[in-house]
Amino acid sequence: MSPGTSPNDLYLRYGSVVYRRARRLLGDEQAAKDACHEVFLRLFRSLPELDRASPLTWLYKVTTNFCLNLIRDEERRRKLLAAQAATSTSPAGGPSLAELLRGFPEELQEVAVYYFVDGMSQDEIAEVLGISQRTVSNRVSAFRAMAKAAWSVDAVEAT
Amino acid sequence: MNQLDERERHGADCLSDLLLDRWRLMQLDDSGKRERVRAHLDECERCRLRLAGIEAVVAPPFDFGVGQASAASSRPLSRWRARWLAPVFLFAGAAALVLLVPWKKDGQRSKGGGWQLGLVAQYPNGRVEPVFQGQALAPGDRLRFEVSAPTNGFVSVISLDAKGAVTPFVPVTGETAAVHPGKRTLLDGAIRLDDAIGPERLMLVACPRPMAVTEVVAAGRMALGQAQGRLDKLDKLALPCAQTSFWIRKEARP
Repeated sequence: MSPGTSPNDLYLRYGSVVYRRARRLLGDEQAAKDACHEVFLRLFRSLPELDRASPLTWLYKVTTNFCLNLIRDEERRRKLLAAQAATSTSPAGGPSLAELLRGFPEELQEVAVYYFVDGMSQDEIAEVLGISQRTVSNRVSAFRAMAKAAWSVDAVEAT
Repeated sequence: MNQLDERERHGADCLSDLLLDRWRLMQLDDSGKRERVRAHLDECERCRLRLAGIEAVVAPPFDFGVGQASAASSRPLSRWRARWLAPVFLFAGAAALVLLVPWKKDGQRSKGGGWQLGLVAQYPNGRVEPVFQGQALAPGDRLRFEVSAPTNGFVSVISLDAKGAVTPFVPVTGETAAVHPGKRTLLDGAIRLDDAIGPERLMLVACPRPMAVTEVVAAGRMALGQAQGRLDKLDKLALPCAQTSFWIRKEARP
């Protein structure tokens, strides 16, 4: 392993990226720490196959997938919602990410997080996911359409 | 949509986290893009604040044991960790304080002339894990040492701490220990960390011929004196031996 790509070097360089991202998506300090460890374990395990100058986009993708899987998990979701209901930590009392993404297809959830939450450009998303910019654009449009329908129904039901 | 959409709230021109990460990690190869990011940061207070926030985030210590006791056992993390450390735990169960099986993957190993030093810690609760450079450990934790050797040699591991103490860890007395070429040879003997809090520099000294441990310790004291007690300023011991360092921090366990 060349200097600068040892596990310690990688963690020093990218640990805060993964931790920050996990904390943002999960909204839970301890869960973010666990996610950070898991993502780096996967990175270390994948190092021989990783043929990249920088693992940054790989880490973004794996962290996002890992966190979305956690969010999709029923038990985790229930805990998150219960905790948020108890502490009302959502900004401006708004719904959690888990609530907002509930019911959307997984590939749309992933793109929605990158596009709407991270503010990534479609080119950046295409690079991270290894798909075409056109596919990203289609998924963003599909998410917009589904969200408009779903959330307007929610709003009507809430009134 | 507004409740989710950062760009609708703050404008599509603002920089993404990915771009800010690339900027601060100096991974923007395109000079035009670098210039655009710099120009945007000059103009946009929001992105400057976001960048400051990003830079302020500190990753948790790379201690795979932190919080794991409460982690759900069904999580992939736990399954993988179990596989990863299975040989270690197996033996730890049989010999409570002594670990003879090296970790499969990676603690951290410091390197010097092809020689590498690795550490394995056993915590008071019995957990056994590899140690990473700079990791926080606590008084009472037990350590064992493993060496990857490019050639035959005679090794010693000494500790230099923030209070100026130089202590032989392995071997404790006698002569430096013979090691044959190979990876991750576990050295005989374990030590228990004392109560001195602060950074600690562990040095592996690998010599071509046997040497008294007292001689290694004396060289450590001399080097520390020359560095005026500054562990980080200490270069090498005045010995005709390969040398490499491994840093740990000793902190009181809450």
